[in-house]
Amino acid sequence: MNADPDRQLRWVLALVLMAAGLAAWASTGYFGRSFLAEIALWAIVAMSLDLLAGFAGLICLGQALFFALGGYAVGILATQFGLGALTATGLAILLGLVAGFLVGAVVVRVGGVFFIMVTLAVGEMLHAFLFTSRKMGASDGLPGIPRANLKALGLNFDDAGTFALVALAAAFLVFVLLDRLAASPFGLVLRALHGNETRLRALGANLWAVKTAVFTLAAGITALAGALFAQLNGFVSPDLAHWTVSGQVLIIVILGGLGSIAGPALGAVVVQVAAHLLAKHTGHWMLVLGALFVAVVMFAPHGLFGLLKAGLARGRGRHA
Amino acid sequence: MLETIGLARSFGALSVLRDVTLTIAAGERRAVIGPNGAGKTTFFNLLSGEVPPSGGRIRFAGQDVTTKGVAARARMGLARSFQRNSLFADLGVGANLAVAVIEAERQGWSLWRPLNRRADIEGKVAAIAAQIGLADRLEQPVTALSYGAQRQLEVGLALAGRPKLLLLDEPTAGMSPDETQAMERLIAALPRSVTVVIIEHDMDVVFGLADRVTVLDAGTVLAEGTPAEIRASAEVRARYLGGAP
Ligand SMILES: Nc1ncnc2c1ncn2[C@@H]1O[C@H](COP(=O)(O)OP(=O)(O)O)[C@@H](O)[C@H]1O
Ligand SMILES: [Mg+2]
Repeated sequence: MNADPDRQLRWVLALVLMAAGLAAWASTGYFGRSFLAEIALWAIVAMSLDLLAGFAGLICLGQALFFALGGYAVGILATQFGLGALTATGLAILLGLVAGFLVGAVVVRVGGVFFIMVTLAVGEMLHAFLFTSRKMGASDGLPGIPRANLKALGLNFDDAGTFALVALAAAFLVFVLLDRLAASPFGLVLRALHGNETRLRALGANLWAVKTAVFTLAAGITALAGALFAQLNGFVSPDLAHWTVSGQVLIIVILGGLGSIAGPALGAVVVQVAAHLLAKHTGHWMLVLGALFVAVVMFAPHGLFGLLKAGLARGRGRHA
Repeated sequence: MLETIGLARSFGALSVLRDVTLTIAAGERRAVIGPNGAGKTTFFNLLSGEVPPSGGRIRFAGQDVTTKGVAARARMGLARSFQRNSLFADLGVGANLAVAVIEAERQGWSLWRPLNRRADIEGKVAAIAAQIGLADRLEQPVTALSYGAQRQLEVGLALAGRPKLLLLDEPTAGMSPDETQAMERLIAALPRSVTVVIIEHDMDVVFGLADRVTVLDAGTVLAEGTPAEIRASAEVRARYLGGAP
């Protein structure tokens, strides 16, 4: 029995993306590599949201909460408590997991559209707090965030190229982790949860525990991306927690293909590159992105990954 | 195995079940019959925990489970099939059964080893699939199955957990005569380690399978007895079996 039929294709796509990333790395300089790192971090956020939205069917519109949490944790711990950025990154992930558990344990109790609204509201609460808190730098945010010291590994994290490679490696590790999870019995339970809660409960599953667990894990992974994002830019601002960040990531996931893991990573590449190119020519790039999104939702409900799958199936049919 | 004491449920002013008291022995095959709207499905919903009772108590496997949730009762060994198919429509046939096996085997928190390397789970899925006659359709999407085959899968999901108590809500509804016979054989072949309560309209199935029959009418137990006693009961005949022969 093949309970996870897309696994092969998502590996192919992930490897192609990695290869493309490395090729881009080899052919660009400082700005290109910083941009590459940024794309890799958005891919991490998108993949973690896919675990929630694509697999478990929990449409979270508050993922920016954990992104900002990870970023600010590193910012505060490194600039105000004098911790090394590496230690601070570890603590940021831990904080993301704890916050994910505390928020998740409550919000997964509400279903459907209310879940979307509650996660949105919780994210906005953090944004409001960061925006007004003097300690957190208020609207200016926190500048002067150092990067982790990776000398022990023989790496100079301050170098844009090294940072980009580490970000790519982190994205790949997150892919491997989520791929294993998706292929495991737990992964099948998540998809069952998405499909039919009543039946899953009748089979004996503790839905609250399952939902809280994925929410927690997704929060921890997103916090990792936030922690790296803070180090990439050297500063954090309340913008990280803004609901438009959550919205954009959700768009990336849907565009890439819900539940395909590698698809949302591809979505992150497409959206970031498109935004970059369009921003040069027009101030209305969000409008173009919105139109693209509507087109995908209408004509390709399974996103870019679904298009890829359908295209391959058609190609195979022609050669058979 | 199962005991209900004064079980009752109303929806607003509508009293759907009133004072249902019955005892079902371990290993028994009990049929519950009665006209549409008698409250049979509601009775199952109370037993499985999907609907809380407005009054009365439920004892299962030696414990009072009245306030226990659906999942807790399922983990104690209570399984049910639904009157209206409740499947995982976006998963394949094998994956549907795998979900049931995973939950029954408490493997839902197994996070690392891929399912296709879990020969233990695959073996159990194959066994259930053979039992319900879907062995060669494991890879198919649920939506590719006929209604009758979906009905078999519905029962298969309940069977997968090797339950102590199996509640079947009209398992043969909408099936062809052949499919009905296959379902009857399947239920008849279940080991006596499973207690079976079946809601059924097909009287051949009822009288063929049941040790005892409970007749529900307008939310109360109208009669209870062996199939022969129920067949002979003038009252049941008048109210339900459609008058004198
Ligand atoms: N959730 C509910 N809310 C309101 N009325 C209900 C609900 N569930 C069942 N009923 C009513 O209870 C009565 C019995 O329904 P049901 O238990 O499905 O009967 P049966 O399975 O014997 O045909 C019907 O009149 C039905 O409309
Ligand atoms: Mg019914």
